Amino acid sequence: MSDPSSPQAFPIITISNVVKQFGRFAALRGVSAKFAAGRMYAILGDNGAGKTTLLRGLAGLSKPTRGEISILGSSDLREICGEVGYMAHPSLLYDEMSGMENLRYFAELYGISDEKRCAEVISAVGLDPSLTRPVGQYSQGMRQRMSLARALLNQPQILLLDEPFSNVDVRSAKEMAELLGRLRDQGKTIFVVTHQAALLEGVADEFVRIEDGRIVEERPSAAKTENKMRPYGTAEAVPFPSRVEFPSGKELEVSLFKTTVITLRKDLRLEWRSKDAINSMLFFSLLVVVIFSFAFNPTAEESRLIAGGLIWVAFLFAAVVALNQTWAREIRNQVLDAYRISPAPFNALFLAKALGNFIFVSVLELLMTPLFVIFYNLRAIGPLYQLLIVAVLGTWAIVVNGTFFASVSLRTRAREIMLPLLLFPIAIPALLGMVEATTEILTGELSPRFWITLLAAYDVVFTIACLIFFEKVLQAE
Amino acid sequence: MKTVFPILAILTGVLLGYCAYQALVVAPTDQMQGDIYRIIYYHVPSAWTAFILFAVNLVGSIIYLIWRNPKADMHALVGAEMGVVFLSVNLTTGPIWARPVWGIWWTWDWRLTSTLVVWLIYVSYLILRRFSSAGETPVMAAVVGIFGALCVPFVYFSIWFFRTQHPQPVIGGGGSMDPQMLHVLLLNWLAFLCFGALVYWSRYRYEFLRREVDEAQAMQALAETRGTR
Repeated sequence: MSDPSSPQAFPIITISNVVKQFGRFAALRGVSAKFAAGRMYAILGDNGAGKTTLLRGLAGLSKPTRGEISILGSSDLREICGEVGYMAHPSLLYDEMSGMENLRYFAELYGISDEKRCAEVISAVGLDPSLTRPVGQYSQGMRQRMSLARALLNQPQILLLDEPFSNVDVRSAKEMAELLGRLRDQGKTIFVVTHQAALLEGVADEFVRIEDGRIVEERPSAAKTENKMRPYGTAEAVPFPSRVEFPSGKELEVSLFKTTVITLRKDLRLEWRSKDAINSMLFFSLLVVVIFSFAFNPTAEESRLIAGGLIWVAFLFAAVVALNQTWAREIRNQVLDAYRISPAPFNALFLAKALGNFIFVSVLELLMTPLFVIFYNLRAIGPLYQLLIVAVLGTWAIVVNGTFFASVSLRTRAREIMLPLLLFPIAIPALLGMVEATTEILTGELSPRFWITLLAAYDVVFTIACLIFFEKVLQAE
Repeated sequence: MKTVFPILAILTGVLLGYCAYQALVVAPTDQMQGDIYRIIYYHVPSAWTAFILFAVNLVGSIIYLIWRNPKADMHALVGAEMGVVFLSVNLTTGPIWARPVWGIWWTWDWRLTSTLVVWLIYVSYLILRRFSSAGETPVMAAVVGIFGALCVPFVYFSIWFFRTQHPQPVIGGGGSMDPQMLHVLLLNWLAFLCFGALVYWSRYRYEFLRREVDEAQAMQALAETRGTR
């Protein structure tokens, strides 16, 4: 009879012949293993051995090229994402927000609206929940702890930790190891990728060594073999929050609308603090206005004819500045990965980003249009409400495609160059509609109805296309 | 395949030669434009062939996104590359024809501009393939290929609402042509299609073999790494 506590008897994770290739390089080369629940596994190996790739595979961030990963009996890792907590080498936190603000946002992605929960996990990792300093100003050790707090937010059954002790002082690292021991004693299955194996002696149940993308050794820790494992679940200095009743998998599904709103709110708050996008767009479009004025030097009559083109080209160029920044905060500390492993719908992220950009570009248009009117002696002959319709449809056409192609260009070299290269050719029909409609309204010559219809159709087609393909772009590896 | 390809190549060469003879000698001279109009036999078939190749890119992109079949990705790549080449022929022969007829090399007429826009869309597709990381390239390229194809109808529908200096399309566009000229034009298109298919096949084979060699080199490197351990 097999030992009922062995991985073979009751595996919580099963990895079957997993191969992960990045182009010509195979990071994992046929990994097969079974891991039991309620144990701590220390994953060891040299740099480039495949440890992080394995962990990302378990987190559902990287699909195997071949083979299968099954967690809690499901090979669809998105289904069980609420049961997995992941701490990466980067912090997966927004540098511009405080620890509490970060956790509040990520908690909402899991459908947790209880602020007490955020404060509890922050305290549990030995930090002060009332700290208002932005995470960017934290020490490396504090950032690591806050990152662990984020991974613990959803009370996961499985914790995947990538080098949690790196750049942390010895005392803090020992405290973190003890905290992990307590979590394991509470029944969690923990994987710790580390180069500091000594820290986990007496804490980890098993040591797994990876070399060249293969598991080459699995051994129980010496303490476990000699039955000298120290219990961490009882009388400890820092009490770990009691297990909260976490919603079941089905209830975890957070709504598209709610996630869009919370993500948009977060983006607007960050922009309000930094004003990076608005300021750079304003300055850039002002430059374009000035350059155009002496490049064309138009008379009042000519101004009316070319103003539509000038206005929209200025806004398009300026919008690219903001669009290029769309994902900058999300990739800085790989925060995007924290979103990807949450149950939040991918399209909510896209819609929030597109709506955010729409608001930024609309603000730019509101501020810059009076300047255009003054500099180019403009006076609309057609009805103003039509101008407003053109502005809304045109702006959406730019931002919806711009937000999408910004996510595509994220995966390319020289992404700042790639965005306009991809966006401009696709945006030309919309730009044509915007320019023609605006010119017709300004000159009062023809009805812009056809161009407004073209813009509306363009918006519908490309919004649907973006929503269909965004997940594929986000999940591509 | 080794014997079929040379036979097809010879047949295509003969067809191209015959069509060149038809276009340059047999087809009647245009009353208004004189012999310069004969460039139409290269200008128009190159555009038609390009659009067929862009359709191949679209189908390949969709199939790749659904089934992740690497062959579909290769078809999409080759379709876009060759489409760009054929459309470049169209965009080059256009100004050569326009100069003696209109007195200018280029005008920002929407029909000309729209063709240039389509060319730009597929060039940006090819640039993306060059600039993206190896593993993600096919997905990103497939998505951009589909977006490019979605854009094409918008580009072409807007032509209806512009007065254009360019003649109306011969097929499905209200333009008219002498039946003998039309016959030679269609014959030339057939020759272009055969030539296109031949080059397409070669390019596809090259891409297929290149990827196989890459894979084999990767496996060899892997085996060598294991051997040194």
